[in-house]
Amino acid sequence: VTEVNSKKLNLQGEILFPISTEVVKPSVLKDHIANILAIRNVPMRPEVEPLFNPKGGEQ
Amino acid sequence: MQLYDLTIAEASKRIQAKDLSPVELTHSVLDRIEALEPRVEAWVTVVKDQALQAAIEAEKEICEGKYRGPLQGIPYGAKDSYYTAGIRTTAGSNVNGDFIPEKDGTIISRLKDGGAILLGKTTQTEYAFPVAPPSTRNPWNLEHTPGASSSGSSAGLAASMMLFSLGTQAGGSLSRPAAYNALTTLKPTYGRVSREGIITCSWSIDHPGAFTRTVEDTAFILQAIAGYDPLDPTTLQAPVPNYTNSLVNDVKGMVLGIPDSYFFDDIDSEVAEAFEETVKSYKELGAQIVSVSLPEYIKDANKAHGIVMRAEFATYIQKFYDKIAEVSDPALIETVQVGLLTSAVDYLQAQRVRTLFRTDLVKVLNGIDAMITPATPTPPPKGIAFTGSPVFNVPFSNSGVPTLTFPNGFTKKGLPLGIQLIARPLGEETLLRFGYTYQCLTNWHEARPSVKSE
Repeated sequence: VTEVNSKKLNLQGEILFPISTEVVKPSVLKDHIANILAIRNVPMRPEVEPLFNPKGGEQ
Repeated sequence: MQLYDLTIAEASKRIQAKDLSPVELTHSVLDRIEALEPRVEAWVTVVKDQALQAAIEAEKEICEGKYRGPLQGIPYGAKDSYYTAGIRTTAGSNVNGDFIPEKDGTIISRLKDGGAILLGKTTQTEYAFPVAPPSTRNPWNLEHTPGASSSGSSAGLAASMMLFSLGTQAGGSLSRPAAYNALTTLKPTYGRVSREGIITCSWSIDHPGAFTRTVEDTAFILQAIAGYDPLDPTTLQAPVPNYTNSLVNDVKGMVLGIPDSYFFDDIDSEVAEAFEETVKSYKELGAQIVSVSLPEYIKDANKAHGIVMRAEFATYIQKFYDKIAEVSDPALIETVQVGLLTSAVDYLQAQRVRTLFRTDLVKVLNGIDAMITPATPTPPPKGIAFTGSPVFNVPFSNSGVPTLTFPNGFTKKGLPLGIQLIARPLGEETLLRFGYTYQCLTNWHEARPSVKSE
């Protein structure tokens, strides 16, 4: 979280969101990081592609 | 019964028989809006003159023998994220609050072709995120939330200010307000209904849909709005069936699955009782009840849903970052900030998790006709600051499978309760059949709130 805060958003180049991450509640950032870690830990099958394919409904 | 309390089916029959004038019907709901709007606060904009003009035209066509179908002359409201030509469209935000679309979105346009009469635009949370609820009240008890984000569309219909309404769902914004207001709603399969001309919350998760009073009315609306749209590349090419053929009062031998986890861990006792009664009814109607197991990682899949929503919205709203920071609710600003912190790798991993979840969920759904759950963990909460939990609806927005929600009882204090049925992709016909059969047996959907003008 500290690292994210210290970098603000400037490292993202052209993104110019005018409010720094310093005003994001630590609890919100903590939740976000927990969510990211959680999805990284989902038992993934290698063949699953990162596309949400709604056309699957037609198969 | 007052005209404003009619279902679409009832009004439509009378309009076609020239026993009811669309002008008379439109006047009835406009008077109702005037009487109750100060208490319910469901509308952002009402286009009275435009609606009456459309009603006059509908009446003229009926008299000339030009029949457009069951929606001709039926007044409705649209959530304020739907593009409406010449009518301000805010998506509940001041960010682009003076936006007036030059043209209608696809759904509005299809409803216009069917002769439906647009009354105006209804309230919602800002960009349909779970932030800053509008001041809209639940007509069943004005001290309670109507739910969100489609707050005005649900509360307005429950208060009989229209005969149906349009909403959208990315989390639980159709199913939850339907349950809280004793309404029926079908969240279609992702891609069954065009998203063109709807201000997005999250491209790959947004689902348009309608609130109605009955399953029969839901079939009419779905018939009018479903189908491929060249303006929305995610719409499905699959042919649109005749949904009214699914209005069959028979579920004998059909298989209903009850999930063995997730939906019953922390649930209100009156919601649980109503759920058990509904299952009992289906059993008595001849349905076979079985237990099913959902993917164990369902809660982590919900997290993927949140990551995708925030990242997609942060991308969509890039053009308005300055305005968001200036005028938006702090919680929405945080949503954008968190979206910006999502790396491409994490976004793609979240979409992978969604794909995996959808695949595994559909395997479960393919083994049964439909799954049944309570629509919400609780009745509508007291107050309007918290709009209730979408936790029972998110897995199905996340996976894009269709759901049908309809009323299945009331609490001892008179608050509505709802049931949710879920089917495999393009299983809308099965859902309509289950819902129609239940509404032939019960009369929860016929109840109307006793809200009165001040």
